Amino acid sequence: MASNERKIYDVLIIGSGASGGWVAKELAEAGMKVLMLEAGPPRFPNRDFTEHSWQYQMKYRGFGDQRELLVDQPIQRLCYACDEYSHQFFVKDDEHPYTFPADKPFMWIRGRQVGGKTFCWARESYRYSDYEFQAAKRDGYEENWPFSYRELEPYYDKVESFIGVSGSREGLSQMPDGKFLPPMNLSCGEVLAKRVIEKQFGWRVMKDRVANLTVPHNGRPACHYCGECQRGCHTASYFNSPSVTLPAAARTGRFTLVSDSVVSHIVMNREGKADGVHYIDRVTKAHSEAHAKIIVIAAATLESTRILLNSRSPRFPNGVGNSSGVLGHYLMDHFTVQGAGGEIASLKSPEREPIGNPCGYLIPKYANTDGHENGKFLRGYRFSGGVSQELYSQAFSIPGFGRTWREKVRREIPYHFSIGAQGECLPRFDNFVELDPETKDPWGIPVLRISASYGENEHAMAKAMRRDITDVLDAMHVKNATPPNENLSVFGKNIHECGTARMGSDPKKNVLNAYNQVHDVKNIFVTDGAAFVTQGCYEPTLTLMAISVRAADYIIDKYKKREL
Amino acid sequence: MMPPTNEDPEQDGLWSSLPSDGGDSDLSRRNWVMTIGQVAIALGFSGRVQAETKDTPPLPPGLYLPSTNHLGHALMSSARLHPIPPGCPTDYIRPGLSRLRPCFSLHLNLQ
Repeated sequence: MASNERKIYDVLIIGSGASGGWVAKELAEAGMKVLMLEAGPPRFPNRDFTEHSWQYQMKYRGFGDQRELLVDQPIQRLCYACDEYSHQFFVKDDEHPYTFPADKPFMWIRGRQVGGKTFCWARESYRYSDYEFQAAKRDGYEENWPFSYRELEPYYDKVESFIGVSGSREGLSQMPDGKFLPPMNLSCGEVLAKRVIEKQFGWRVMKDRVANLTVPHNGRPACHYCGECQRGCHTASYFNSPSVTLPAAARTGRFTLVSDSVVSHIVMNREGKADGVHYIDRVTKAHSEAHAKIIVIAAATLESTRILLNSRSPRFPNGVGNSSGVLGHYLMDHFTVQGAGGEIASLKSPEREPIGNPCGYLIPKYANTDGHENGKFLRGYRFSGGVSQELYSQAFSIPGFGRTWREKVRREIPYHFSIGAQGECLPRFDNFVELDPETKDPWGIPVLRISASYGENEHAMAKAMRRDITDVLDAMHVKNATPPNENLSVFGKNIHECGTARMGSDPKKNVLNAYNQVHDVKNIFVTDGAAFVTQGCYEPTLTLMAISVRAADYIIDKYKKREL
Repeated sequence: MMPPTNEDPEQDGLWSSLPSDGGDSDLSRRNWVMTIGQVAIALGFSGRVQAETKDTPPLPPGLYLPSTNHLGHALMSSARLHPIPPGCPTDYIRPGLSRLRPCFSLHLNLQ
C-alpha cells in the first residue's frame, strides 16, 4: 500500500489541469496541506516538447506513423493538434475506451498527464457575460447560473492577471474586457478583413484573446512566436498548469503531487461524508487509498462525472451527488461550421510575411444580443479564422522538386482567408453520460456510455451561420471560394465538453451549489467544466479557472470556520 | 517603397530600412537589437536566468520553470535529428548550414 495511506491531508485534488492547478495554488498558499492525484504521467520539456523541431527532424516528417496512429489513437488523431509532434499529449484510445450509441457518435479527446490538456489547449480566453450566466432570464430556456457576471468578475481579474492574457479592449457587453497584456497584431490580411467586415456588417473584428504572453509576465518570458504552441512551450510563454499554477503551489512546501494515480471512486464514511479516494497505480495496477478532509474533483468534465457516478454505496446507490437524478445530464459541447474560405488575390506576393503568430481573428457573438434578436433560434455564435500566406499548401499543390520547384513555390505565395463559426449548444437533459454496465477500462473502472446529439436549435443556428459565412466570403471577394460544410461537427470534437454536474441553488435540480460544492456531500467539490450551466459560444477554460478560484475562496473560508 | 531583396542580412540597409514597431522613431530594428545586445553584454548576461532561489523546494516531476534560452532550444535540437541511413540517396537538409535569408513584407507593401 502507498506510504501516504494513513496521512490525512487537508484537501485532495483529483486532476492537475487548468482547474486543479488553480485550486491547488489557492489552497496551498492559504496554508492548507494539499495532495494532488493525477491519472497520467509527468511530461518533461526536454523529452516531450517539440515546438522547435523541424519536419526533417521527425522520423515521419511530421506526418506521423499513420498505421500506429490508427491503431493507438484512432480517435485522438482526429484532433487537429494530435500529430507526430504532439501525440504524446493525448491518450491512447485502446487504453481509454468509452461507448456511445451507433447513431450518436462522440469524439472524446483526452489529455491524461500532469498538466492535463493545458499543454495542447488553444489558449483562447474569453469572459462570459450575463448573456451566458443569466441566459434563462432572457429567453426562458432551462436554468441560470447561480451567480452573475459581477460576482465572477474579480475572479476573472485574478486569473487573467496571474496567467497573462493578451487582448484588445473592445467595450462589448457580450464579451467583457479584462486585465489584458498588449494584443498581438492582426496580419495584413486580417487588417483587410477587419476593414471590409466592420464596414459592411457592423461586426467587430479583433485579434483573439489568448493566454500567450506578449510581454514578460510574472517571471515568464514573452512569446517568441514559434507558432507551435500545441507541442509544448519551453519558455512557458503560454499558460499551462505545470509551469504556472502548480509551481506556485509547490513553492509553498505544502503541496504533494502523485502522478500515475487513476482514481476510481470516492471513499465515503458512515456519516455520509467523503473520507478519501480509492486509486489504482496506472502502471502496476496496485490499489491504494488516500485520505483528506476535503475532496476537490477537477479531472475534466466527463472524468469527474465518471468518478462521481462510480462512487456508489448503499447510501448513494446512483453515485455521489446524484440525489437529484441530474448527475451526468445536460452535457454540452460547442458545435462548429467549418471549411469556408478562399484566396485573397490582391495579397498574393513573392514576399514572405512574418509567421508564427499563434492565433487568428475573432468576430464576437451578435446573434440574440441587444438589437440583434433572432426569432429562429436561441442563444448565439461567433466567428473565427485566420488570414495568412499559404506557403506550405502551395508547396504541396505544385509537383516537382529541386531549385526550379522551390522558385515556383515562392514565386506567388497565395494568401488565404478562412472563416468558421462556433455555436452554443443548449443544455438538454437527454444529452447525458452514464456508466456502461458491460465495459471496463484497463484499471477495472466502468467506462462512460455517452449519448449526445445536436438538436433543432443547433441546426437552426447552423443555417444562420452558413448564410452569414457565405455573405462574408462575398464581401471579401475571395477567389476559389469553398463554402461552409453542410454537416455540423461531431459531438465532442471541439473539446469543450461541459455540464453533467451542473451548479444551481436548488438541490432537486442541480448537483452542485453556487460554490461548486456537492449538494449531497458538503466536503466534495467539483470545479471543472462539469459545473457549467450553459457554455455560451466561447471557450470555457478561462471561466472554469475563475470558478475554481471562487470555489477555492469558499473552501478556505468554510475550512477556517470548520464548516466542511 | 520596394522590399529589400538583398540576401545578406549583415549588410547595412536591409534591417535598418525596416520601420520600427512604433513607426514614429528613427531607431531601426537592427539598432535596437544591437543596443539590447550591448547592454546585455555590459551587464554580464550569459543567456540563462537563475529562476530558482536556494530556499525553494525542488519541483515535483512534471512541473517546470520557464527557460529563457529561446533560440538555444532550436539550435540545440540538432541532437534530435533522425540519423541519415548510410548510403542514403536522399538529400537531407541539416539546419544551420546555410546562411540566414530573411524574407518579409514591409508595411508599405500591404497598403
